[in-house]
Order: sequence, then C-alpha cells, then structure tokens
Amino acid sequence: MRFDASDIDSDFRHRLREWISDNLVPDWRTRFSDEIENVEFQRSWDVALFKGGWAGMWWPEEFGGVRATAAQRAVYEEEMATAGAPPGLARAGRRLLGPAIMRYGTSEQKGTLLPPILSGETIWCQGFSEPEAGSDLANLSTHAVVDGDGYLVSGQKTWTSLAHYSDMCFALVRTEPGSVGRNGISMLLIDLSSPGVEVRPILQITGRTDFCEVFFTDVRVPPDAIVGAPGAGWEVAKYLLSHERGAAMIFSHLVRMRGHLDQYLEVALADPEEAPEAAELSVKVFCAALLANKILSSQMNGGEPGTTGSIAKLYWSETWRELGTKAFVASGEQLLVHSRADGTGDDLANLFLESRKNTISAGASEVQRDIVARRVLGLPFQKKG
Amino acid sequence: MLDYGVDEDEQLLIETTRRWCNDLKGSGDRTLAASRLVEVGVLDIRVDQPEGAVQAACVAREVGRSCTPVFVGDWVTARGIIVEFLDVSSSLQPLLEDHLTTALAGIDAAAPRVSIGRVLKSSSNACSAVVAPLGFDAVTHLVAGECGQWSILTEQDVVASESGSFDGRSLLLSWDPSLDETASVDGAKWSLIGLALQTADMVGAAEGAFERTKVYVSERHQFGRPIGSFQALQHRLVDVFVALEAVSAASWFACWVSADESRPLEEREAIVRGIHAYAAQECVKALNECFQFHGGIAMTEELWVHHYLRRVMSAAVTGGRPRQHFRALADYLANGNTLSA
Repeated sequence: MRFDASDIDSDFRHRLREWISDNLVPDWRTRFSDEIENVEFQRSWDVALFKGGWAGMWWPEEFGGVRATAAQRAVYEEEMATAGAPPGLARAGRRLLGPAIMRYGTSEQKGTLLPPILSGETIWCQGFSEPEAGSDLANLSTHAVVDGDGYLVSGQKTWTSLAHYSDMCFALVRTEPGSVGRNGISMLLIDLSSPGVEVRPILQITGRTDFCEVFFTDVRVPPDAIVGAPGAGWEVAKYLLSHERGAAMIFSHLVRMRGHLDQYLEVALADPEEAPEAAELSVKVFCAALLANKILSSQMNGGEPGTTGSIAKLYWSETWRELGTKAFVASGEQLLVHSRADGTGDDLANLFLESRKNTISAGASEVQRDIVARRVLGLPFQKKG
Repeated sequence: MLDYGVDEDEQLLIETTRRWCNDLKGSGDRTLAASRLVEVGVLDIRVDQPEGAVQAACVAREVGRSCTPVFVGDWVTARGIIVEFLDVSSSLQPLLEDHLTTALAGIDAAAPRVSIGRVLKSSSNACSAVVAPLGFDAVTHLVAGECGQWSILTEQDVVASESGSFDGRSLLLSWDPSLDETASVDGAKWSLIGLALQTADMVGAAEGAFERTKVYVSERHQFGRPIGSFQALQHRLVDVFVALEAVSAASWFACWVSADESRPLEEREAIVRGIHAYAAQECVKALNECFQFHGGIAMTEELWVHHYLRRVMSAAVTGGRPRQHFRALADYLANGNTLSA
C-alpha cells in the first residue's frame, strides 16, 4: 500500500487538463441557458470529445478507443467534474451500450453501430425501467411479438434519461410470450423516430426534464435489431449495468459532494454547536473518497466492478444525502424559498436537490444492499414461495 | 490515486500474524502471545516511516481481528520512543538500554516489564494514569501526557499502584510529577502513530466480530430458516459492513499519514484524530449490532462477543472522546484547511 498520492497518471491528467482548458466554454451554463441552445451545445461537446480523442475512454483500441486504465478513467471523471464540463448526451451509448455490443453484438452490429456511438452522431437512451418494474426490473411487461420479418413492440418505459434528445433506445423487452422474471427478455434496439413511439418528458422537482416516459404502440423493429440471443437480454443488461457501477464514475460525484461540503462548512464551522458535527461529516466525505480509491485499487487488480461498486455507491450516496439534509438545516428555512434551483448549479439549493437523487438512481440503496448481502457477504437467501 | 494494493511484505505479515493468532486459540496467555508476535518481527518494523506504519497496521489489524490479548500499537510506539530516546543524553539511558530494550526486544519472561499508558488526570503534585503492562509485574512505565509529552517512570517514581484493580489489560498508578523524567522525544509524533495503530486494532476487532457474526446468522435458525436470510437483518448487516469498509480504507490511510513527515504535524493530527473518532463511532455501532444479532446469548460470559465489545469500546475512547477530536478537527478546518489525500 502506498498513500503518497504519487500520481502515476500525472501526464495523462496534465494532458486532459490542458485540453479541457483549451476547449471548454467556461460559462456554458449561462451562455446556453435556452434548452435548444443547450442541447446543441451538449451535442457539440460530444463531438469535441471525439475529435480530441477522449470519447473512447471506455473502449479498447480495436473499436477506436484508447484502452484507458481504471485509474485514468477516474482521473478523467475527476478532472471533468472539477472543470464543470457538461455531461453531453452520448454517455449512455459510449459507456453502456458500446461495451455491451462489443461483447454480445454481431460483427455487423459492431461495424455499423459502434462508429456513430463513438463519434456522437447517434444518441442512445436506456429503456429499462417501467411503471411496474422499477427496482424489480425483471417484472417488466413491455413485449414484442414476431410479426412477419421483425418484431412489433408495445408497452411503456419510464425514467428514460434524455429520451427526448435521443435517436435510438436500447430497451429490455419481453419477447417470449408467457415468460416471467428474467427469462424470455431480449434487448432490442428501437429507432425513436418510428411510428408508434411517443416520448413525454417528466417534470422533476428541480424544474428540469431529464427523464421521460416512452410509449410504444406496435412499433416495428427489424429482426437484426437485437443484442445477444433472443431471450438472453437479462445477461446483456447485467453486463451493461456493471459499467454503470464501476469505481471510476464515483470520482465525478465526489467532486460535486466536496463542493457541497465546502459550502456547508462555511455556514456550520461558524456555529460552535454545529462545528463538531460538520467536522464529522467532513471525515465521512473524506472516507467516501478513500473508499473509492480502495475499490479502484481492487478493480485494477481484477476485482468485479458491479459488486464492489455497490459498496462504494451505498456509502457515498447515503453520505451525500446526509450532507444535503444537514446543510439544509444549517442554512435555515430560506434555502428553497423563492429558489430557482434546477439541480445543476453550484449553490446550496441546487446541491441539496442533487443530493436527493443518488440513493435512488442507478439502483436504489435497497437494491444495492440486496446485491451486497447476496454477492459480497454470501448471506443465505430464502427462495420465493 | 492512492494504492491500496497489498504488497508481498504486507501480505506475509498479515498471513504470519493470522497464523500465530490462530495458534493461540484464545488462550489469553499474554506472554505467549507477545513472544509469538516478536517472532513475526513486529519490533523490527520502523514504525516512524509511512511504509513501516502500514506494516505495523497489518499486524495490529490481525491481532485486533482475533482479539489476541496484546496491543501492537503500544509495543511499536514504545519501541520507537526508546530508540529515539537512546540518541539523547539522559541519566535514564543506562536503564533504557539495559531494561526497556531487553524487555521489549526479547519479551523474556525473566526480564523486567514495561508498560505504556496515558495520563488520566493530574493535580499540582500528583498524576494518575492508566497503563497497559506487557506483563503484570511492570516496573518501568512510559506514560503519554495530554500535551503529547512522554514521561518515563521507574519503580521509585510510582507512589501508588492500584494493582488490585488490574483487569488483565490495564491498571491505575499514581506518581509525583516532580520526580519523573520527561523524555525529550517528539511526543506528539509518537502519540499520533500510537493512535493510528490503535485505530487499526479497533477496526480489525470490529471486522473480526462482524465476520464471526456473519457466520452465526447463517447458521442460527428461527422460524424455520437462517436468521441471516431475513431482509431486515441483511440490510442492517450490509450497513455495518459498508461502514467498516469505509473506516478500514480510512484506517490504512491514517497509519501512513501518522508517520508521513512530509505533511505538517497539524495536518497529520487532524487526519489521524478525525479518522480515529469517526472509526470509533462506526466500530462501536458495529459491535452493538453484532451483540444484538446474537440475542440473549450475547449477555453470557462464555460467548466471545463481549471480549470484542470491551476491546472496541476501550479503543474508542483512547486519546479522548470522539467529540473532542471532532472539535479539534473543526478548528483545523475553520482555519481554511481541508482534509485531502
């Protein structure tokens, strides 16, 4: 073990920092506050990342990536968050679908789908959750029937991030009639411009519309628009989601959380009653960073990202929610009154809203606890029925 | 990025210590435990170097995990103080050379014993300390005061010893501070290293208790199924586990930092004290949960869990209560400092 913070990737960090400085419009949030302008800007950022050679951080060289190490990915997340870079729209394609196609896709899919994902030309969204299949994802009921040469898809997805700006959707769909649970599910690739698709943005408490409901009514999908074997969608989804829980991604959240902590400390340290609690919370936030480093080390040595990532996510997301609540209380009742917080800015009101979502998104804390109980601790499980 | 990968030396220390501790099978024989650990080479570790502090923590964690009745942090800290003290001129030097080093380096049953402890309270003409002897018949004591100064007491200095209160780990003794000789060593440095290693021991003990509890809930049946299959318990177990993972990561880091003199002492103190205080709270919570999951049997002498509870609770208040540490950390942060790796 070595904790002298010797950054073996310092060249990488330096190069990235320089590129960001040369390419990022610092006041993009205010300059492109109009929705249409903002979407255009996010798209242009995706393209800039591609041209700068940063889009393939998660991809091997044979598919145009740079085969970055887990530590380099963490550095990437940390630097992007520190600079306040935009998230872009191409993340779901680049980070989730891309790796799944590399593993489960056909040669033709690799040839036709991967290049536009990497370049940011095609924007993808993830159609997994449904109104009756949230944490219990395998309870999904959106279904597809074989109709001549292809499938007809009907059903509803929800919490579909950025669907209203996306071109395509990779969706979990029940393709075997009468199947239940994890069996009989396939991952279909659905063109959102097809007849029968309706996308409705969901207004959030932040005033933003990051998520959507997506309705499918007899939407025609070609027979080759399927990732993996028919009925094997659950396996593909599990692999795909393991990329969502890798240690590297934590580092961008940590940057935001530290910013939140700094603002809380400004208020709390001035109050002798609050100060010891604030110090304790500082240690917890610091521990979240240390735990992320520990898990990153473990993943670099071959640890499985999904399960170890669940440990880290539970800790940092619960800690951040606690921080959000304490910072709110310390700031007083005026924090959200007349606020225009949209959950993306850097003030306390925005950070409070941002801190609420992380124990729910990308696998709720309760689901993460089940994962850790079963796969890490190996606790006995009672079969249903 | 920090490197949590365990290197070959660390792995060897962990495995060897684990083997020695297992061989003892909870015999409670401190002299045997001590001699076994000396064979591991613990006293040769240069604990005032960051790499050495982490190596000592490897041993401390395993000793704590098995609740073996010795305290590695005390030993290596005392050893470090002695080595440093031998470099300075002092009337105690012959005593140290003949006495303490023999006792610490050899753990010879016939050698005079050394104890290490901490001042509990002081008045104008007397001090009282709790000390942890490496053997009950300790005749020389290293005692850390509240300001990080270390005093070296001989038999002649001690005016009262409540040996009747010896509970197998520590006893109270009193002396007239005008008689003692204060070691001109960097007391704050050694106190900090000792505290970080105490944290490592405490986290190891909590992890050991958790591991044993995990086995118990998988085997204990109620309502026709293992109690560990109930989600209500599983989620609580996961919360304990995740918190211990976090304080474990922090504890390794604290040990490194405690001996990393490239950082100012003020920063080292803030990090080590803050982590100790937070780890103490989480470890106590963990033990409370382990206790609870065992039900009524946890209240019996024959079950192992109370040994771990005592060990963790004692470590949790070593060097001050958590709130005192947090208050000191708050002062550090209020001066514009941050906790950073």
